Amino acid sequence: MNRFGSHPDELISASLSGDLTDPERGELENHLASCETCRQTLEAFGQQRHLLAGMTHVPAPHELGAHVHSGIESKRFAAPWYRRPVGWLAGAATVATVAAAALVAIVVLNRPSTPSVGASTPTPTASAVSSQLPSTTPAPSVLPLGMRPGDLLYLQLTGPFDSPRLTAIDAQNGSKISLANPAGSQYGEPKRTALSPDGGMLAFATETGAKGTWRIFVANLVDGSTRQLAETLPLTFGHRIAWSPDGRYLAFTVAPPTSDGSSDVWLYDRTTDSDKQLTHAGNAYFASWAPQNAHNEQLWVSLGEANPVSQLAQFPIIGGIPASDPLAGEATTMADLFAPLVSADGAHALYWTGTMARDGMNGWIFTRGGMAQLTSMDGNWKGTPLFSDLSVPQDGQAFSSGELSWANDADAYALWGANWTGTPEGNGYPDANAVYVGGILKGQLSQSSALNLGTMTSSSGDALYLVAVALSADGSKAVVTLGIPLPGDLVAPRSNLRVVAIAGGAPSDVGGGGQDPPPWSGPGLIIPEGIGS
Amino acid sequence: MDALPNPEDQTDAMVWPSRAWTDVGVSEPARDSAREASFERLFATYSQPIFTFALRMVGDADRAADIAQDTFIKAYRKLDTLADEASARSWLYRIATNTAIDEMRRRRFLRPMRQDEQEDDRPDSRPGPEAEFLASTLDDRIQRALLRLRPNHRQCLVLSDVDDMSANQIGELMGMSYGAVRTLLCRARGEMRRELAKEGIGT
Repeated sequence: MNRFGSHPDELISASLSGDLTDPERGELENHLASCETCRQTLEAFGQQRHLLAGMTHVPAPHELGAHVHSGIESKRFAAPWYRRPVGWLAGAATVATVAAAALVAIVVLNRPSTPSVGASTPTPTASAVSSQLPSTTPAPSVLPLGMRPGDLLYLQLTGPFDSPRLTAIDAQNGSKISLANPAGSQYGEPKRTALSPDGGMLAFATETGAKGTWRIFVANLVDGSTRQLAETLPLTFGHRIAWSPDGRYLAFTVAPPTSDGSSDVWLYDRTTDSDKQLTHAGNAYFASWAPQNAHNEQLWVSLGEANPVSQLAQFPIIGGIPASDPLAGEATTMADLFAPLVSADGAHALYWTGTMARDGMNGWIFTRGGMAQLTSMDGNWKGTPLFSDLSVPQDGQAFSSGELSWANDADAYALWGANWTGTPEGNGYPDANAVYVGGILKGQLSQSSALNLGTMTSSSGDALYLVAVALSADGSKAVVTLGIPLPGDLVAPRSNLRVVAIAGGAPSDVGGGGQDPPPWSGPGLIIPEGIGS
Repeated sequence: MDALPNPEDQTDAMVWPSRAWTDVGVSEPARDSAREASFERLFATYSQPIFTFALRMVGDADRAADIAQDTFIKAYRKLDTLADEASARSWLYRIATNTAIDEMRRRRFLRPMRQDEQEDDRPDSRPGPEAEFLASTLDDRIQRALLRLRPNHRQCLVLSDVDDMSANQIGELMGMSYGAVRTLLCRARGEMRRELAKEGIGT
């Protein structure tokens, strides 16, 4: 017996939403051990929750935004349903107005980086509706956390080790928001981040567990709600996560932890809060988004093969994530190049060339002649090797992998975390722990392009390891996350988050709050100009 | 039972910047555009969750779209009463809940005659309950069970199981204590279990 009578149904019910205190949990566990009826109740309530949460997703009607806007404009509510002729679509507006307003709503609500989506197909109705709508001109909007261009935004993971908390912090104004922990997942060290173009959502990937799997999340920076999108093996070339230029989609690579390392590209659609597998190739990697054309979203997908290829996947801007694999059609295919990373203006790309092989659960890596290249996007893909002082024999050992980043100015770029299996060309050069920064106007990289990252040992003498690098929008700074090795398993992870001026000068650490060792801080990014507008 | 402390109260409170649109002393046009931006963000973030919530409450996509539409129009008008965007979620769900309950109430009193009800002297050619049961998808059966619950039971069950809200969050938006929400949720789950059984689901 207990204070709830013979069967503690209320505790069983509350346990499903995590609404139990520790004593209550103990009480319930004791009771469940000896009561078959309550075990059945728990199973039934649990199944119910599973069924309700798993009901088929129905996307909100595309016209909803337009209807809300016309409702706001009409200064009165739309006619109630019982005075309307038929259904919802025949509401206050004519079909023509609905279509025109929907066009404007796409511009207003999705905030594309270029206004050409609406502007390219002007109609008299569209402009008439547009003039009635609330201000659609870009205005200095308020970003979450009071972020402003130039601010450093970063994630911080604080202990205890068995229930860490994750917080997003604006280093300039000190605003922070705690990110809710989605049921069933525990946060590990964040390793990658991507901020949506409107500044409202932060996507991030964390490393978790003994297998070191990565989990990909999206967090709403306005209210801290977070959603886990995927769990994936940490593929060597599978770490890129990026928002589409219009901010609607997040692309990432997933190799299911139960798989042998076979991977495909997934998309998260922010307007429907749902995600879906885009490719069905088994060896596909997300490379980067390309600028939208008049009708299509475009992204580069690379296929791991002995001689890797990259394909430009396209799907219509209107209509959501396609049901069919966009690679199955007539996708533009480029041979002998892998993981192209297109600059923000679409004018240049960094990519990898070489011969690849599968490295078990790490996925595809370069085994022969691996080298990063820079090309202008004139359609020829005639790249220049990124390094001027590394000799790469066609069939010899060179880079097996590495990470590439662009600054938002589309000039500065970085190569970092690169694994060189060839003969070193200098004392420890190239160095996996170095960040080599160059620019289109500066010419090729060399040993002297390595940034001075400052002290690379912790206060206890452990060597720091490079986790992530982001360049500021103007290419003047790099934000570098440097992990600190852990003395044991029962310790919360720790890292230094370091801001390094590319022109030189003493790097500065942020996010430690004076603690030694500091909590895990990073990855960080610098808010670019033009965000949110 | 008294309300337990809200575990979320102990997390860091979100610091909403002083440059928010609620500021006094900001010029009118700047405030208006900040207000629009704020509203657009709310819409982008919550239009789908609010639509889904309404759909589970009424079981009909057209009606759910109406409810979502009215919810956001009301929200736009009341935007000045929203203290900060951090509490936007429960604020919007509260508006959506009231809108959905109003809609259901109106519908009960003003339910229009359907074509098939006016002509009920004709032999009924609609499928019988058994055929309907066999033709139903799992979703249909779950939704039917849900629609047979009392509105407040349906509401708290959807908020808990679909929207993954805690008892505290549900209490905040339904205006109930933490303890009362736990009791209500338990009854709702018991009722739902019986209704699902009638649809041949579970035990």
